[in-house]
Amino acid sequence: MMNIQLLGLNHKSAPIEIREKAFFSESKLEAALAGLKEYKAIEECLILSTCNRTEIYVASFDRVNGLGCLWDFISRSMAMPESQIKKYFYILENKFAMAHLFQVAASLDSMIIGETQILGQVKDAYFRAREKNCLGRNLNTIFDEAIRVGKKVRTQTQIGKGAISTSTAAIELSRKIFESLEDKKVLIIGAGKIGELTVKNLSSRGIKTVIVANRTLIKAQELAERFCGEAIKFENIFDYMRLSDIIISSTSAPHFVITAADAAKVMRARNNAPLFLIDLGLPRNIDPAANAIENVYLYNIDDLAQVCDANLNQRRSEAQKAQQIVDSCVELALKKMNLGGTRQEESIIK
Amino acid sequence: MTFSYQTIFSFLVFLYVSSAIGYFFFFTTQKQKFGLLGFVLAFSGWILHTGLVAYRCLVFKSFAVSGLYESLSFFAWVIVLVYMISEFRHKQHIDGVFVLPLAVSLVAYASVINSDIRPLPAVLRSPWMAVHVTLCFLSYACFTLAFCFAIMYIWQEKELKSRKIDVFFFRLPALEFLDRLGYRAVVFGFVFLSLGIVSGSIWAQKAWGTFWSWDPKETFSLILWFLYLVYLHGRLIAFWRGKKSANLAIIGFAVMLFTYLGVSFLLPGLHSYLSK
Repeated sequence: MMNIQLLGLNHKSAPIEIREKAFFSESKLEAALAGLKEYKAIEECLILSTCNRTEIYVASFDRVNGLGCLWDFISRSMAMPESQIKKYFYILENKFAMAHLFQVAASLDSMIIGETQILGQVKDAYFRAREKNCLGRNLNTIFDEAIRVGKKVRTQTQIGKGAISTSTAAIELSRKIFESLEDKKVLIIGAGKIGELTVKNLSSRGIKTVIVANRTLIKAQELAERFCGEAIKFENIFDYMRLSDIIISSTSAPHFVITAADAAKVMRARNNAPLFLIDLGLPRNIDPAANAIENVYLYNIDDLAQVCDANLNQRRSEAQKAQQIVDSCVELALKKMNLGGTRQEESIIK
Repeated sequence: MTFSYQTIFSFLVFLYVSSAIGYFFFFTTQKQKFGLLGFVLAFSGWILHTGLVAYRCLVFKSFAVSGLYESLSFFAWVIVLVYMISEFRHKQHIDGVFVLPLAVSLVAYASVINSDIRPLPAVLRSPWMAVHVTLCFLSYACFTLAFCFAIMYIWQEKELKSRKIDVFFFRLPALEFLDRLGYRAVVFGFVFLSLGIVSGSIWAQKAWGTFWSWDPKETFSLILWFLYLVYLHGRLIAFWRGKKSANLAIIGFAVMLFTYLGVSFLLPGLHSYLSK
C-alpha cells in the first residue's frame, strides 16, 4: 500500500532563522528533487518551498524507511543534526497530509488567510516536480485535486476579498469614493515608505497624475521620476491640493501639515469635489477635524488598520466556509485513491 | 384556453417578484449572473405589463390611467421602464436591487384592490391625457430612481465617514457614481415634470377654461417643481453635491409621494381621480 508522507515546517512551527535554512531557492530546487529521488524508499517526491513554508511530499511503500529518508534529506540539506531540527517540523501522512495540502492550497494555512500567492506557488511546485519526472499517480492526483480545491475556495467564498494591508486598504477606499481613478490626481507629501507603496498601488490601478512634495526637493524629484510624476516645492502644496483628489501625507512634522481650515478652504476651491485624505504620518499630519467637512474623507494609519481588521474578521468567517469545502473535497479524494492506513498518533501538528 | 385578466396580472406580479429575488441574490453574492437574471425577468415582466396596459386601454377605448388601480399599475410600468434604461446605459445591476421591490409593492398593492372597469369620466377622454399623465409619471419614476441612488449614497457615505465597514460596503458602488446617476435622474425628472405641468395647463385651459386653478395637486406639483429647482440650482451655483443633494432627493421623493397619493386622498380637488 502506498503512503503519502509530508515533512514540513511553516511560519507557525518554526522561526524565520530556521525557515531560511530549510528554504529551497529556485536554483537549489532542481538538485534537491534529484537528491530525493535517489532514495530507494521514495517513489514520488515534490518540494513546496516559499518564504513561509517548506514542505516535502513523498510517496513511498515503506512508511518507516520513507520517513527516515525524509529526515536524512532535510538534515543534510539544512546542515543541522536531526535532533536539533526535529521540534520545528511536522509529519503528516496519507489522509492528513492530503488534508493539509488542500488547506495550504486554499490559503487557509497562510500567514494572511486568503492571500492569493500560495495557489500559484503550489502550482509552480507541482509543475517543477512533474518536469523532473518526480511524480507518479499518487502525488499527481493529490496535487491536481489540491489546485482544484484552491480554485474552488477562491470562487465560492469571499476569502480573498477585502484589503488587509494599509496600502491596499487605501486603494479599496479610494475606489469606493471615486468612480474611476484614471482621471484623478494624487498628491503625496513626504517621501515615506508606505506612502510610496500606496502611490505605487494607485498608479497600478490607473492613476495617471502623481505630484510629489517634500522638504528636500531632490527626494521629491527622485520619487516623482519613478511614477512619471511632478515634483513640487513643499511651500506650494496648497496650490496643488486644490487640484488633487487624493492626498497622502507621510511627513514627520511635529504639527499638523493640513489643518481643518486648510481643508475647508481647499474644498471651496475645488467646488466640493470629493477629497480623500490619507494621513500616514506619525504624529498625525492632518487635523482629524477635517473629516467632518462634507465630501472630505480622512483616514489615518489607525483608521486604515481598523478597515484591515474588519476585513480580516470577514475573511475568518469566510475561512469556515472554505474549511467545509476542503473537508468535503478530502473525503471525495480519499474515495478515489487507495492509500495506506492513517495512524493518527503519527500525525504531529504543532 | 383563456386566462382571466387577473390571472395574467398575478403572473406579472410573480415575474417582478422573481426579478426582485434575482436582484437580491445579485446584491448578496455579487455575482453578475444573478443581476442579469433579475434584469431579464424584469424585462419579460415589463413586456407582459405593456400588453396588460394596452389591453386596458383597448377596453376603455382611450388612454386609461384613471382610478387607483390603473394608476399604480401604470406607475410600476414606467418605473420599470426607467430603471431598465438606466441600467442599460451604465451597465451595472444596482438600480434593480432597490427599484424592483418598489415596483413589486406597487403591482402587489394594485392586485389586491378593485380592478373593475368603470366608465372613464368624459373630461379624461382626451389625447392630452396620454401626454400629461405619461410625462408626470416619467418624472415620478426618475425621482424615484434618484431617491434610490440617494439612499445608497447616504448609506455608503456614512460608512466611509465613520470608518465602519460592514457587508454593504463592498456591495454598493462608488460615491461619485451614485452622485452622478442621482443627479442625472433628477435632471430628467425635472424636465419631465416641467413638461408635465405645462401640458397639464394647456389641457386645463381646453377642458376647464383656465391654465391654473390652484387645485391641491397643482399646488403640490409646483412645490415639487420648486424643490427640484433648488436641487439643481444648488448643484450648479453653490456646488452642492453628495450628501446635500442626496438629502434633497430624499425629501423630494417624500413630497412626490404626497403629491401622487396623499393629495389624491386627503385633499380633494379637480385631480381626485384616484379616489373616485
